Amino acid sequence: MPLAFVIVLSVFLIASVVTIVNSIDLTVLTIYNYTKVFTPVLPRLAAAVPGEEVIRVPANIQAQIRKTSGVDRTIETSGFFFNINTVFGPFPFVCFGVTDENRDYLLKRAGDSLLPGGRMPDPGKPEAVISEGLARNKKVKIGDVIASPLDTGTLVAAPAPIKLVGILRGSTWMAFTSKKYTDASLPLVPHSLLVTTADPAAQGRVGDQLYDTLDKFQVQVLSFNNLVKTLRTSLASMYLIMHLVNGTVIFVVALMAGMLSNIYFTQRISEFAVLAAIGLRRSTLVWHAVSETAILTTLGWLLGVFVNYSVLTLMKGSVFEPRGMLINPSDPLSYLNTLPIPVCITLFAVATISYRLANLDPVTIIERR
Amino acid sequence: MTESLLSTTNISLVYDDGARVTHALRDVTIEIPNKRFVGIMGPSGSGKSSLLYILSGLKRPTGGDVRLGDYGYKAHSDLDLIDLRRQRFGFVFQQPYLLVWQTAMENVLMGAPILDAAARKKAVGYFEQLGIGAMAEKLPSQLSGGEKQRVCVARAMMNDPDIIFADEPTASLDHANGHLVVDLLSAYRKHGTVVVVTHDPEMLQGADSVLLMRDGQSLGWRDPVDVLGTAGPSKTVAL
Ligand SMILES: Nc1ncnc2c1ncn2[C@@H]1O[C@H](COP(=O)(O)OP(=O)(O)O)[C@@H](O)[C@H]1O
Ligand SMILES: [Mg+2]
Repeated sequence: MPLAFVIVLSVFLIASVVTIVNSIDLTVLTIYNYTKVFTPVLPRLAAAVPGEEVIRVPANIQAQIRKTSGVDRTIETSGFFFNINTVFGPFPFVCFGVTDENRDYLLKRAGDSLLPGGRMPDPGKPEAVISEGLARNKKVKIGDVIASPLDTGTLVAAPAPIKLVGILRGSTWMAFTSKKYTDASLPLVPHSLLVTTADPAAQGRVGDQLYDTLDKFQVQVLSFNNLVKTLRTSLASMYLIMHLVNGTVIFVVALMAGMLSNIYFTQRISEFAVLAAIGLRRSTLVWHAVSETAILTTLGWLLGVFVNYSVLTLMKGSVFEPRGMLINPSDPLSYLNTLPIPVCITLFAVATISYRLANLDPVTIIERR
Repeated sequence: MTESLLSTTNISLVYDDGARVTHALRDVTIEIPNKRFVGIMGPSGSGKSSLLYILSGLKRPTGGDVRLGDYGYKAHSDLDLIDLRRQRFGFVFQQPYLLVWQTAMENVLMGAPILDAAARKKAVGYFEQLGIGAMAEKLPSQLSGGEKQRVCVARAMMNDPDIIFADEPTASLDHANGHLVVDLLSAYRKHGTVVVVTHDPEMLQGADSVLLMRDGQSLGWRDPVDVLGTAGPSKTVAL
């Protein structure tokens, strides 16, 4: 029983650590999920043309994009940023200024729709619509101000307090205002392109292609796959540390479990001695002891998985999300990380019990009265 | 005595634990007949258990050898003796040791050479015969001492042993249960030999013969009626 308790606790510990560490990954991917719907192409300062007020994606690159097979629209946009809550503190999220027609086109691609009670931003007014996920993250409702010129830490702050007029239903985090408003109030902000494909399924492939082919000194391409790659590389050392910690925990737990199974074996040594006396082979006895341990550890593991899932699910809405931590309690990866626990414990038990059984003299045990 | 099943020649057993040397058995040469219920009796410390362990291959003698038919123990390895015990012997000990996580039925099936339908059928038969039919699916913790010991008897019979060895099988039981267990064991003489070690002569009333032990030596076989006179304490308690 103490063994099962140790297993439940360690499974819970490791699975929750992994889930929480994975939350960084999940958070970043959630923030940039819109790059699955369209591929932003941002001009760099090198793309500035002397005499022109606004930096745009150079005309030759625009032509190159339009010639790329599969490309549907190249939507010119500019925008401002507002802060959202994340594990790593306030983080800027972009609000694109697009025409009504382009906005509806993008929302249709993302499968989004306006939730009842809201409306789309009036062209030219300091108004915005944001996805329900963003609204929950910022804990805002229709009528609230979501961005202000005084916001710190953003790249381009809002030109005026921006009022939330509608909330979008859909899993992709997006924010839109009118192009008329951004053009009028942010005349100097560089104009980017949002590139879409005719076939939504081709967005990833075309995004990668743009990333590979466009002049990197002139423009920056935010393709989803490349963002994931960059993210995983930058998180690599953190994952390494996590795996080291997990490994240590598993080792210590297995060691403890080995000691516990030794105690358990000592308590029940008379049973095994009698079985040895009546002629059961050592291998049969080891098999009996180990199958009991294996059943116990498996049950302990299942219980640990269940406890972790329930606790994280309960804490998800109340503790993690308000702090900007996106977690996935049913992430198979975090449970995969805990699998070595029952396996190691069973192996340790096999080792200790085999050793004890090999040196067992049934008579001395039976005679002990 | 009729044809002999098990025989010893000049068995001796010396315990030397450094501080003290104990001669548990000295020069014991006996023959145990086939299909008989025999007892080994003697005061505490006279070497009864030691003899039983050596007869059953649980212990190696310091000197001498044991033969089961033409199977000499000395010539065989410990692993061979394990197989011998599993295949040809049955055991009942003083404490009714059972696997606590397994039902009475599962414990009995531990004694079966092969776990098949026939073994199950046989086990069910023993449960009925031993009067514990209702206990088959219970855990040892739900059984009384006498019931547990009967489960052990059933386990000992599962492999149709040539010999059942029982070391003080009644010592942890009350009078009635003790008699019940000995009666069950003695009934097995139709199929094989039963060797019961005890210091209580009353338990050996129905035995075919009784070997007397003293100070590690055999005093030879006696008729049970002759040893009954040396009544142990349990007789007085019973009457
Ligand atoms: N493991 C042992 N180490 C030392 N002496 C022992 C050991 N086992 C038994 N003896 C001694 O051997 C003698 C015979 O013991 P045993 O065969 O158990 O007698 P019984 O079963 O008749 O009571 C006793 O004197 C006992 O103290
Ligand atoms: Mg004894």
